[in-house]
Amino acid sequence: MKHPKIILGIDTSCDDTSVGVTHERRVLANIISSQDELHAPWGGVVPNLARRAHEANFPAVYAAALDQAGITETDIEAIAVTKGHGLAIALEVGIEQAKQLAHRLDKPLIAVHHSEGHFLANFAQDEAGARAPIDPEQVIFPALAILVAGGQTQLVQVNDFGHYEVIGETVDDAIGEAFDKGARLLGLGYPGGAELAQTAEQGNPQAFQLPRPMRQSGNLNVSYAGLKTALLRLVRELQAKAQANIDSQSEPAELSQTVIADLCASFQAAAVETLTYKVELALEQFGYQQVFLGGGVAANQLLKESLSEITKKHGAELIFPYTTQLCRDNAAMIAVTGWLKADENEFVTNLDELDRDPQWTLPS
Amino acid sequence: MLKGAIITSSPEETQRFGALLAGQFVEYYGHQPVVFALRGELGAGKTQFVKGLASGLGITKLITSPSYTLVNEYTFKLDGQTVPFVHLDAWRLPELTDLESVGWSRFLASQAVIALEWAPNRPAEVLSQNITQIVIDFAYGKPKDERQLNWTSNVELNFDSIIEDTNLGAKFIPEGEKL
Repeated sequence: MKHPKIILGIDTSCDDTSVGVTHERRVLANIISSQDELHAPWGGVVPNLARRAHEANFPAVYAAALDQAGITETDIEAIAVTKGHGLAIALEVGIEQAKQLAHRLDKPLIAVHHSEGHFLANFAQDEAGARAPIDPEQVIFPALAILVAGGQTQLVQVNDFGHYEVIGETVDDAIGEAFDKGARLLGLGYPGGAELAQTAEQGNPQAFQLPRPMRQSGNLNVSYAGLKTALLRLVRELQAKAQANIDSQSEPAELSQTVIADLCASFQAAAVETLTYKVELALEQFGYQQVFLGGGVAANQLLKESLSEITKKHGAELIFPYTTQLCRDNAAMIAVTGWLKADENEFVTNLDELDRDPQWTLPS
Repeated sequence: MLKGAIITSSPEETQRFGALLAGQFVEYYGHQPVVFALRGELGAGKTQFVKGLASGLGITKLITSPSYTLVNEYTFKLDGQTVPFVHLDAWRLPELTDLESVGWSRFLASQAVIALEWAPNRPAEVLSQNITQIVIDFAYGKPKDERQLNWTSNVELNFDSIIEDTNLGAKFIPEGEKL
């Protein structure tokens, strides 16, 4: 089979409907339709609403992607779709659309692991074929990939493209989930993680002592459940104190903007250090020369700065995608991954058998 | 016994309680679905309990938060039979009928053991009484790591073995007695 170059990528793994078009590694289009507003009243993604929104949004997102890429349907040479990890009934929508397109256009289909997409987003180039932080030939194996997202926190040893080994992961909540839940506790709304990071800029990260769990665990795993609980307790104590300081019994005391900012900064510092501590251990233990960052939380400035410092100290290089658009859930990364997989002839052989795999583990 | 309460003083004790409680329903596993419905606020120990429950069922895989995928599926072996264990986060489902969208009927039909996490304000009565179940409410105690767990079950349970378990430093409160 002729190696396909123009790949249509589809990702509906959670609450963003995304369609991307790439020419080899060049991103021609990466349309993302966010459902944040839809889910905000519920404080999290509601599966049925997500599915309906994916179904409703897909045609327009698809059309916009083709339009932005300046191609027509017939130019598509292969279709890549996220099979997992993700929300089952959301994944189903993208897979169904991908199957229909593959049938209708008679083009091959490639099933992609969402986390592998986050890692390979590092190889995406802009439209002109520039700005990629690294080329596939330049990777020094084994490398370390740090995947930080709403549903995933993993330290992955990359032995080769397509061959991964999880060497550390969260034992409970994901880091992105911790940010979002922390934001909820502080009344910052939904999704809130980015808002928390922004509010943290005005705060003092040393104002409050919050735990950095799992330091003594003797492995590279992290935990965020305890941090969340510690923040909840702290907020309650502070609210009780504030209540005691005002006369009115009728109105509940609200925390001042300064205190909220300090809480955000202290929480962010604890969440980031929890992870960077284990990254440093991994570097000491395995001496990786390259560290790849991927996932929505890769946009966090403090995390990037801390990792940059740590990697420099250990003579390693920190690599992240050229735009934050490629860090969040997006379909261009799925298309790039599809292109690399097509090179290995990893096509779906029976369309009818392709099914979503919400808890799919990275291929080893 | 249909009702009771227990106080645990650490996440480890909450886990231990989960592991011991897993043993109380062994006769049902694989023959009919069993639901552990867990209600409580963020950080009240529901996931800790599920970690213990899973270990009590013999599951060695890491139990992580289902908040993102809403459902995490595992399996365990009992008398050579493979039984599904489902960890469900229903916090964000506006209606419990929305459980259907994440595969509720399929889980029941497969005689799964289901750990169902709920928001604290959900009524317990929404689960059909035909399903073997225990509803556990998790509340914060005064000391930092203390939690009070109140349970209601629709089948008779024998808590003697749990009370006698010396590894569980939890205080047992019989029904009707004040804390």
